[in-house]
Amino acid sequence: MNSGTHKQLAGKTALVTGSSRGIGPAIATLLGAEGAAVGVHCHKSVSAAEEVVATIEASGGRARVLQGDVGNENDVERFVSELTDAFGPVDILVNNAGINHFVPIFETTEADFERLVRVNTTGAFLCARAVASTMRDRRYGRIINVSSDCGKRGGKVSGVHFSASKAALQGLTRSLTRQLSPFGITVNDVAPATILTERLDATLTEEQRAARTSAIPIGRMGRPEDVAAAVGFLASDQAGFITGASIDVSGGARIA
Amino acid sequence: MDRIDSTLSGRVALVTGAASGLGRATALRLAQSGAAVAVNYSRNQTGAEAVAGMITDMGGRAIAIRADVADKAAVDAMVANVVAELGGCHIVVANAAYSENATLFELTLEQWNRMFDVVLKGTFLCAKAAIPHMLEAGWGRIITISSDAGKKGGQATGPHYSSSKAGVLGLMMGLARQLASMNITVNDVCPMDIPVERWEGRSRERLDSILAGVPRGRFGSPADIGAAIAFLASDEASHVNGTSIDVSGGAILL
Ligand SMILES: NC(=O)c1ccc[n+]([C@@H]2O[C@H](COP(=O)([O-])OP(=O)(O)OC[C@H]3O[C@@H](n4cnc5c(N)ncnc54)[C@H](OP(=O)(O)O)[C@@H]3O)[C@@H](O)[C@H]2O)c1
Ligand SMILES: NC(=O)c1ccc[n+]([C@@H]2O[C@H](COP(=O)([O-])OP(=O)(O)OC[C@H]3O[C@@H](n4cnc5c(N)ncnc54)[C@H](OP(=O)(O)O)[C@@H]3O)[C@@H](O)[C@H]2O)c1
Repeated sequence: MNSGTHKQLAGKTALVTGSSRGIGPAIATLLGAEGAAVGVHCHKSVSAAEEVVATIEASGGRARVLQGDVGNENDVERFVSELTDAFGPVDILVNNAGINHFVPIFETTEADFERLVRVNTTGAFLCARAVASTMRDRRYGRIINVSSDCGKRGGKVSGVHFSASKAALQGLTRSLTRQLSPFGITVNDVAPATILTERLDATLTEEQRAARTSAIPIGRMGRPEDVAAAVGFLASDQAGFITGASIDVSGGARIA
Repeated sequence: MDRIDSTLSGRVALVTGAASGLGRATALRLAQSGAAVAVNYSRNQTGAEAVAGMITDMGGRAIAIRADVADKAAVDAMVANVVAELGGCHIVVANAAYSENATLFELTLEQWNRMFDVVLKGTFLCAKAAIPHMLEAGWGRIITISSDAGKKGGQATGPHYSSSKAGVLGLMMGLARQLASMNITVNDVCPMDIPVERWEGRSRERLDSILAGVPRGRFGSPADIGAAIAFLASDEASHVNGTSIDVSGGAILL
């Protein structure tokens, strides 16, 4: 995607929530390699976020660590202004921070429900609201929400609250598409299915791995880089007319 | 008001937000198919009692019952009362909601949270409280009510309404998958542009411009929603699971 010397996101500032581990670092690294100055955000894993920043800087990019709970209004306002002070107003927001919870409905409590909605959906609302005004003023913006396959067809192993929170995130994408597109802000969704993060890699047994893989037509599990590629495309100028869309990054899977 | 059929006789239905609008029409329609109905409200006691009264007047069984669907203790107590008074809780129609206009720029976290508590958590709490009784009966129906705003995003409608209504669809599908083997179906009805009491006061121009977006060329009625819900609640729909029925006169396609 990087065409030689020209870096297509040069001069842009990007915020990638939850980019300390899992899929987020691949997104932050790709946007950094394309020339964006990146806010590498974490909730608790500050040292992991520092490593991601170091990786981006080592290849000549600019990045800094941001820390805070996306579900906390004050935290969000604070880390967005830290990033703005350092690199300028946010041009690209990737709402990637998220949590899952594998429980059947019988064991899903009200507190579980509130926690997942707060991080997965309310967090994206708060981050979008925190950056939307300057995007509107500058008539440019890219908001990319990382949802999930479960939001589209409901998860069986993932809790119903995870499916609900991710479907709600997809609904937020559609709402913001209508409200923000007139200001030159595109809003899109990327819906991953099983992505083999380090966390997942360390916990899957050989049988689970085989079972998951066999359910994916393309014959392998997804990688963080697969998600990052879709996000990078939506962030690029080539995707300027794409808004309100959702890209499945699933290898063709229907999770059973 | 007369009985239409007996497809739901022996069933007990809880309809949330049933004092007015689509919930009211649904409560009446389920009673017309023989269900005993709990008519839930949070503020509109007069409306709920009138609906329950219409059902008892036609020889059916009904109670009006108060609970804020966002309040877990109130929901649990309501479901326990429904079971005690009507003998079960086989059908839940999670209809209670309100809509609110807002732009992203002005929407407060308090507005966002209250909407999610009522629309999304309220649906979860009502379903969750009723499921044990459905399992006990070996039969259950959960019917959620989404909105075109959830599927397509709304322009004037606030992001909190569109997002929480989209969340209802994800919740519905997740529940459908988890409960499918237990003889409980979970489906959604998605109304669009159905005039109800709260539309009173809308100008002729406003109504005409909405109507211009309805391919059928006339407005639907609350009874159209009640009919779709009565179908999903019936035994005939036992193999229908995890889907959403648009009741829009074709407007959802535009
Ligand atoms: N992996 C998959 O198979 C898969 C499939 C579908 C969708 N997704 C979605 O993709 C996104 C990334 O998933 P992942 O697998 O990379 O997850 P992950 O490895 O668990 O990483 C989650 C990231 O989110 C951050 N985070 C968690 N709670 C937060 C909070 N309250 N405030 C701020 N940040 C918070 C974490 O920060 P700390 O490190 O500081 O805790 C971490 O950086 C999520 O939205 C997830 O739902 C993933
Ligand atoms: N009409 C349409 O064209 C349309 C289109 C799309 C979606 N919908 C959906 O259809 C459903 C019914 O709406 P409607 O048009 O019939 O409007 P409505 O007449 O305002 O009905 C909503 C009902 O919900 C109740 N309610 C609100 N908050 C509650 C709470 N916290 N706890 C319990 N009950 C509560 C209200 O009763 P109280 O006054 O007692 O609180 C009211 O009777 C809603 O889910 C709505 O989003 C309607």
